[in-house]
Amino acid sequence: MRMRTSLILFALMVLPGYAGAGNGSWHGYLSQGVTQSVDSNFLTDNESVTGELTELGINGRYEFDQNLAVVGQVVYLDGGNRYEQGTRLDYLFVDWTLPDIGQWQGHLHLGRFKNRHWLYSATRDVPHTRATSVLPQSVYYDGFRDIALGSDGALLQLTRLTENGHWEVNWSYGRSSISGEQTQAFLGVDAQGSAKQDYAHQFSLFWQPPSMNWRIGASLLESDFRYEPAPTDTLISGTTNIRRVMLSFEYFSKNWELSAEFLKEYQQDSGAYGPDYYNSRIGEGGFVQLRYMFTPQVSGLIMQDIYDLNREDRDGSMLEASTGGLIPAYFGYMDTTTVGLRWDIAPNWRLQGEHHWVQGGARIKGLLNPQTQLQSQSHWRMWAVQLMYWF
Amino acid sequence: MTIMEDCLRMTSPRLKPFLAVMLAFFWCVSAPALCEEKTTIIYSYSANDLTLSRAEILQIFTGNRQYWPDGSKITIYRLNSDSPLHQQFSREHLRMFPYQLDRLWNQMTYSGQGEPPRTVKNEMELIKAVMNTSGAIGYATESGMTEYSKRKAEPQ
Repeated sequence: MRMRTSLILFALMVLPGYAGAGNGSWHGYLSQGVTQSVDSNFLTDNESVTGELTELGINGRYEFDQNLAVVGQVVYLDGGNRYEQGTRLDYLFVDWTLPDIGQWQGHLHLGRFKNRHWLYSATRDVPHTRATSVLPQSVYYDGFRDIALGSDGALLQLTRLTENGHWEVNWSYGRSSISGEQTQAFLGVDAQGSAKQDYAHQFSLFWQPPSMNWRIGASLLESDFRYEPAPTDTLISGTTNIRRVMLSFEYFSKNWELSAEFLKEYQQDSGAYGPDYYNSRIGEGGFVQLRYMFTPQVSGLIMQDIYDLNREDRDGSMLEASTGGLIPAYFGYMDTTTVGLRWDIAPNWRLQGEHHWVQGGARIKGLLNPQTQLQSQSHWRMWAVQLMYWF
Repeated sequence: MTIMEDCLRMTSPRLKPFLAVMLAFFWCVSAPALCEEKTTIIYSYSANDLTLSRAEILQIFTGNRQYWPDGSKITIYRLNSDSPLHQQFSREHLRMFPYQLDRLWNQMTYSGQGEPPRTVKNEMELIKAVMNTSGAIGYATESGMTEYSKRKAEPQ
């Protein structure tokens, strides 16, 4: 895997050089931060202040002609305890520009494509395109990050930009691989087998009026997972079906902008913990975020993010009771208040800081891990300061 | 001042001073905008009877259209986001704020969907870059075009 990633990285850097002016290009970003989580191991262990906030990436695009291009990006990520540290092939796909149909323009992406269905999903791992280092976890749950970023498969994008407004339609079908660590984060540390995603099927629709000062969208996701137990395993085979419905909204003003996303997530689990095990829940949540630009270079942010694991159990009491007290009730929800400050020091340089106050732990990775339960209090907080450069 | 004079002619004598103050106030407030010179789209693509509609300008400057009709690549030139001329162009032609445009291009660039516009320092560089690059597009003021395109033709 490491060898394959290195080869792709090499190709991304060298290919544009051979391509000649106009046909090849490459870009990248470097960022390093300092971070800490207090009364929780969400970001760092033992309340340590660490540099576990590193994001590096390099991407290349080579256009064979006006209809065909190949693009790819390799990233190195260290997000503390949120996801696995290491190098990843973020995307690598063929971008085929389809013939215009009426006033619709189309692109078909084949390969490892990016999720373009949510406000921040297409560039979720690119620091300077995000509002905060830690995105609102109701929608952008970091424990689910690698699966939500993109898939191996196909994405069709249609856009229609006329005097009457801007329409964008996205459809995608694909699957992602799930690591052993992610399997244990979802199913508990006893899981010795492997979790697999059968497919992720997504659709989204966005509209921006001629005034261009607001944008609204809706997206749908359906995905099936299965668990294949190891020869010696306490778990048995099982399946999970997830459906997500989401609404997205953005408003742009000269000195401020508002963005919001709300989701409803239907999850059904069967098997895995026992032949008769069945669990069905509907999670709900969303965030509202306001950014005010004091000057073109300096802006402040305030955000409220809420998430309930089960709409029938908003205080988590049923969760605690059903696990015999093993999982505290506050793991049934997670409400976060965030303030942030951004300073664009120079072109392509940015310093960004944020502080999050959190109640609950529904989006802390490793819900079934006793260590997670021990180290996470009902009220906790985290902060991050990140310096970023892009080219 | 014609509108102000017309208004004053039509109103009763008692309202005139009040109206005059109000009109003067609004004229002062809006004067900079009225005096602001409009931006124009400039490009170095030779094709017979090519006229770009607002939608096509929007498509090009937001990366939705990256090639000219003959299949040659479009190269976009722009100024920094804090440049007044760029801010004016963004509002006049795209109805967007510069930060919206920046975000759009960052998303396109880092999700592999296109090459961002090339940023130059000032209007003179922008005009020269567009004039010297085949298939380039940018924006300028009429006076800028008159001054800098003329200067280019003159011996340095």
